[in-house]
Amino acid sequence: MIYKYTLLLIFIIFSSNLVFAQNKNIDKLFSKYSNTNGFSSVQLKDPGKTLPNMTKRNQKEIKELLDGVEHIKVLSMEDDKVQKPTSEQFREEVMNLQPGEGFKEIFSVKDGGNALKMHIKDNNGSVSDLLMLVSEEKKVTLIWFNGKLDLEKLTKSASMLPNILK
Amino acid sequence: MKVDTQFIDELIEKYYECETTLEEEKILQEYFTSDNVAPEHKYLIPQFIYYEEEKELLFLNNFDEKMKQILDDTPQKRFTLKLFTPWIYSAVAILIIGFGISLILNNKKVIVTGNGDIDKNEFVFQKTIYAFEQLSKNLEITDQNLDHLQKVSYGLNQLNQLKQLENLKYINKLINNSESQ
Repeated sequence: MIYKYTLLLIFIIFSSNLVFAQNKNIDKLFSKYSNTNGFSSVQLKDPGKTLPNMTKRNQKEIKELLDGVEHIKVLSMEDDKVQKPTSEQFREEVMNLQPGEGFKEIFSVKDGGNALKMHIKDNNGSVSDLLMLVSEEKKVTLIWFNGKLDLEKLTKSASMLPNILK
Repeated sequence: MKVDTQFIDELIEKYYECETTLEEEKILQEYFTSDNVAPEHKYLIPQFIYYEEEKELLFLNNFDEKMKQILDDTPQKRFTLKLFTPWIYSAVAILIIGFGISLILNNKKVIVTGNGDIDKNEFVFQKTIYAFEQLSKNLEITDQNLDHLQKVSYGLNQLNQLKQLENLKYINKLINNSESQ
């Protein structure tokens, strides 16, 4: 009987996690690598509220700049901390990631050992997702923004936020 | 009394195929309870007498009362709705707990892994700053590329205009030459 209940509980938790999952392919990478040595990840839900609560400085500005952003996810790999087959595999998986239906690759640059890809998802005229795949010599990073994204505002936030948060 | 055995045979056949009318059944009943049963039908007498007795027992002598008594004497199982068994209560409780746990897990606003010795909040800031720096840098590259494209487009346009001007000058020169000749 206890076995039955345990199965039921696992099923409920698992299925509800599937329901709340944001992007199948991106989440798959997070669940595969985020707990592996040499990898690090940050997943922020509602950063406009979460980040101001984590600092006592510039709360209002941070909130305003992040208004509309619902999720930020960052998954990074330090090349020198991860053994060869895994690091190469991750680099390949990230740079060949197909984020799913509705995404458009708007930008792709390859410069020597560095590469960058940017995808956006247009949802009824407004941008709902922005995905950046950054492959540097010693680091590979996946950065994902989701929400009701105003690109003009996000550009402003991108230039101002690092200074506000520092 | 002479009985038409062929007719009785037909009725018996109909009887076993459940096609007899009440009247025909009565004829059969009367025939088998009489003394005129043909020798080839005698083997059926006990069967029809039994039917007759059963009928009397059930229908003729207070059928309703007898049925009521039979029902009263039968030990009846109390009807209980199977839904409300202890198992269902436990399952519902587990469902609620499971949903609650999943809600708590999903409501976790910050998930951090691989921060090592770095403070969790500090790590979140570092990664967020990095994300926005990358965004700023790459949007700048996009802007620069757009700028560059615009400049190239402007340049081509200017060049085109210049060519048109040169063409006009050349045509003008030709016209002047022809006029002087």
